[in-house]
Amino acid sequence: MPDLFTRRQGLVALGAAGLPAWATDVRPRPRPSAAGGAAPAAAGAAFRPAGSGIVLPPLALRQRRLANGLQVVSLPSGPGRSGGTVSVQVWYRVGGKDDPAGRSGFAHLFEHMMFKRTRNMPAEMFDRLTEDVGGQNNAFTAEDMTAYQSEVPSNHLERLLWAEAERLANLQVDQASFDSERKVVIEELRQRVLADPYGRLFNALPQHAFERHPYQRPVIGSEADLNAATLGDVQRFHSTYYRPDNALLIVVGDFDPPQLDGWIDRYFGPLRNPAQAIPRVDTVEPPRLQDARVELRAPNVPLPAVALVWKGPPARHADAPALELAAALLASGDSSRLNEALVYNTQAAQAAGFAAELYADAGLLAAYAIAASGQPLRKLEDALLAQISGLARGRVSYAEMDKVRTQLLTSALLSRQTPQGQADAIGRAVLLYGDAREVDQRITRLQAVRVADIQRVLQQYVLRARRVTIDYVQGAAA
Amino acid sequence: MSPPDSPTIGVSMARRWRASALPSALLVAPRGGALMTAVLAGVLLLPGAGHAGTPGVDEPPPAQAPRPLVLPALHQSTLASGLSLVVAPRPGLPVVTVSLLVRAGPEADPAGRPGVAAMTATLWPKGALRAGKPVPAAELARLAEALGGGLDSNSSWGASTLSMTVSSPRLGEAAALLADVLRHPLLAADELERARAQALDGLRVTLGNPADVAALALRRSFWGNGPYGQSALPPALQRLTRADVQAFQAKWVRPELVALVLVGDITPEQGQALAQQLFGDWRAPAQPVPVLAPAAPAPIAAPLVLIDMPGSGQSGVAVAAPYLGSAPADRPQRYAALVANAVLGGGYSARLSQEVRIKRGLSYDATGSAESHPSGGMFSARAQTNHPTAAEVLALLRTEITRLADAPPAADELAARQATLVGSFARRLETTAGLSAVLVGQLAQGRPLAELAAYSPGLLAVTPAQVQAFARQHWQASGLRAVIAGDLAAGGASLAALAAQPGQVLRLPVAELDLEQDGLRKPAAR
Repeated sequence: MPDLFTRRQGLVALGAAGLPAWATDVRPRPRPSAAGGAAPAAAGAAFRPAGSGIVLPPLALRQRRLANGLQVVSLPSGPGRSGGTVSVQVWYRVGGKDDPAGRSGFAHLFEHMMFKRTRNMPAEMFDRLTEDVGGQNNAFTAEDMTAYQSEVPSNHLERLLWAEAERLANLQVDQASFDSERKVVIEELRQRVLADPYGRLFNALPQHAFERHPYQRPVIGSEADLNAATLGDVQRFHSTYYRPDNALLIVVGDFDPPQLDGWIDRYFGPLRNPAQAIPRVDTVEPPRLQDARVELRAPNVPLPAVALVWKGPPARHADAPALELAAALLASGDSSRLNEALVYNTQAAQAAGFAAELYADAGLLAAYAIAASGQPLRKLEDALLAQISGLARGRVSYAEMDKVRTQLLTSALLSRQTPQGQADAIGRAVLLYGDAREVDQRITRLQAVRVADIQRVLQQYVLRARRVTIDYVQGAAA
Repeated sequence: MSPPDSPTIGVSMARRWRASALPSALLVAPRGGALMTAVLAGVLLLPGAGHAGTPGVDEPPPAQAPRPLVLPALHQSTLASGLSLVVAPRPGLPVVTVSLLVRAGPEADPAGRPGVAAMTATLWPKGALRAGKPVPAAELARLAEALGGGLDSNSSWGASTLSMTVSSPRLGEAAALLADVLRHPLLAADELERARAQALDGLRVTLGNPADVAALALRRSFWGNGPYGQSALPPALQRLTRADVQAFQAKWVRPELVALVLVGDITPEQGQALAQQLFGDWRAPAQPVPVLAPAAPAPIAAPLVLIDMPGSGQSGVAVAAPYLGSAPADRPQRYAALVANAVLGGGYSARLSQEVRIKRGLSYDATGSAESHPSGGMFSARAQTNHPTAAEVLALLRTEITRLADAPPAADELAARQATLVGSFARRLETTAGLSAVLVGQLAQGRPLAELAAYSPGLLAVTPAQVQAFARQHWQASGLRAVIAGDLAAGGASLAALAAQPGQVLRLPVAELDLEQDGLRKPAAR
């Protein structure tokens, strides 16, 4: 699902079948979920699912909050596990939902500007501090958050901390670099949405999923809104949202804890917050009352596609883990139900998927299929619904449940291999769930989901709920 | 700390390091395996050179002393049958990546039949004999995914691979599954038909994307008729038979060409036992190991190919230039070639991205990459842009490639790109799958694993003059080939002017494109 827009290429890779990765790999990213039917993990207890033989000890997280409100989570790599690198990330509680009126895409455009000039750094200085010394940097903007993610050889840690504090406090964008970077972002929009044969379809999903919440605007925005943005917007946005009490600093990897704390005090401690409160979106998304059908035409649709969109609960909702398991049963891997039925057995679809995209304030659920040659969209729609209905009402074997639990556990294990992966999981846990320990707890919660939970949430949010059906076909755009 | 006017410290460090001023930590070698070490270059580049700032206040504080990175020991051995075993133990997380590699990829496709290697790899997990009984595709997928990781199969130049990453308790089952799939695949006719239909649909999507169309046409234009110029496009897929796939399996899947690579939470002894258990009974066939004839680039069509894709959302622009091959005679220039590639396309700050994205905002991404084969190599530069700026982007890509011969990297630029290469190598080693891919790549090229220890120092020893010499030898304007795929009518006057160069340009609509023809154009309907 294309809800992440990044400073740089990398997330959208071509799959083996030539489909964009986000059209073929429908496994939702790990996301935190709410307390619910599952018992939370006892603090400090290692998680050891029955029969798996895998032990995942809880992460030794260090948490602090500075007097100015900056939240800090750090995690030193264990003895013998350090690769000599450290991940430094700053996550801000601002995202596409906070785009000013008439400025869709602005939070993401702004993210690009954070790599430009500051009072004490020339433009692109972050590349000197990361890429040029063997590290890397990137950033992404999603519905609820904007994250800046760097990884450097650990002897460069202090320099990165200085630079993150500097761009938080002293960003000074000029008109020339603003104009130039806006062009880059518009090319990013063209590349992801217009040049990709299925870009327009996935970009249109939020618009049809949400009726009131600003989530209905795509994070990448529109070309007209991007062109309307001004340098004044940049300054206002920075002073409104980029402040220590709206930020989370994460450091994972090879560092000395007392030295890290001293550096953080030195560089971030003196930063001050503006007097005014941070504006927050408080729109409540209403339930959908009627089904709707939409036909979306585009000039280059090699194979027609259909997408079914429902509203979902927010990320913290108690039903979130069950929906994540449902998505895994339906769409994770070759042996998932949608792939086996639509792609493999009947060969009705070139690709099929189901995603539960649960954001901080509301969620969307989407099932989709790209038609195999000559297959009618109504047949695909019926097949998608039949599979969901079969999961919601039929028998689910122990082996199938065990498979998705093992998949989710293995995926959590793999994300622990790198400082970047661990820091990313911490960032999502804090921003969506409000608690870094959710990195450990979500594993317990996912393992505890029962078949009855999955069947209940599919009945409630999908089968008994209203939906929008989007047909994506070749034709002149409306 | 370094004074602000000393931007070359990274290079001097590199030289010092080459002179074997190794940090003492590196001198303690683990027993029983090749020791690989790398030190990330501690380049200091301070802002506003010349202005005296206060570190930690109005300029970055100095870097600390660089820390050595000790890479895992590698244990390599060969079974009696000739099958290679590599074990790279990484204690810590209970994870293992298991890979099986066959040293043959699409370059081994029979002439005129591209797609055979790729189809063979696709069909491996689509049914196999296990303990003498046929197990169908859906059952294999369930078995693999129940172990926690999907079963990946792939075929690329020099190597066809099967790979899984699982928690260590599942290693035995995962390795046994991969071994059965490689040694006893069903290669069934109905699965071939299914895979063929899916690949054909997938290609419809690929051929609707201007960047993909440009890349496919560029490969064919640059390499010409040899295997490296071929792609498995619809006509070739239609021709492919089950007999082709069975013949590929029989010819290339033999123990002397196979390697088992185990990376992660496993000991060399456990790896050895696993290899014996799964492959100890495999015998090499009597026929000698097949050898492929080399095939150097032999460009066809025109130096510039313009492909009209009306209504496409952007133009894909791609330029190819000759690059170093992987033959023994090419070895001395290898590190200079890698650095030259990185100076142009190795990251966000490299020259292509500087000129196209950072300075002019013409593209979201301008990159370069290179491939080396025994008979030669290809460097390619790529970007996607709005149609009216396609001609400008093409000119920028061409200019940057040829300019390196006259404008070698300055010391700080060189140090930065060397650090980028070393750092990205170090990051690949962070995960079991990343280290496994590095080892598989080395084996696919038939190179000793011990060479990996020389990778970082080799890169750090490259001089600006060596980069310039490489560029002068390989990157002349006359050797370039280029493709633009996009809405040509929307490309405006600059593109029209490009199209008007006599004898240099082939222009055709995508509907008439046929990459099997030397002229790239479909023959007239009979």
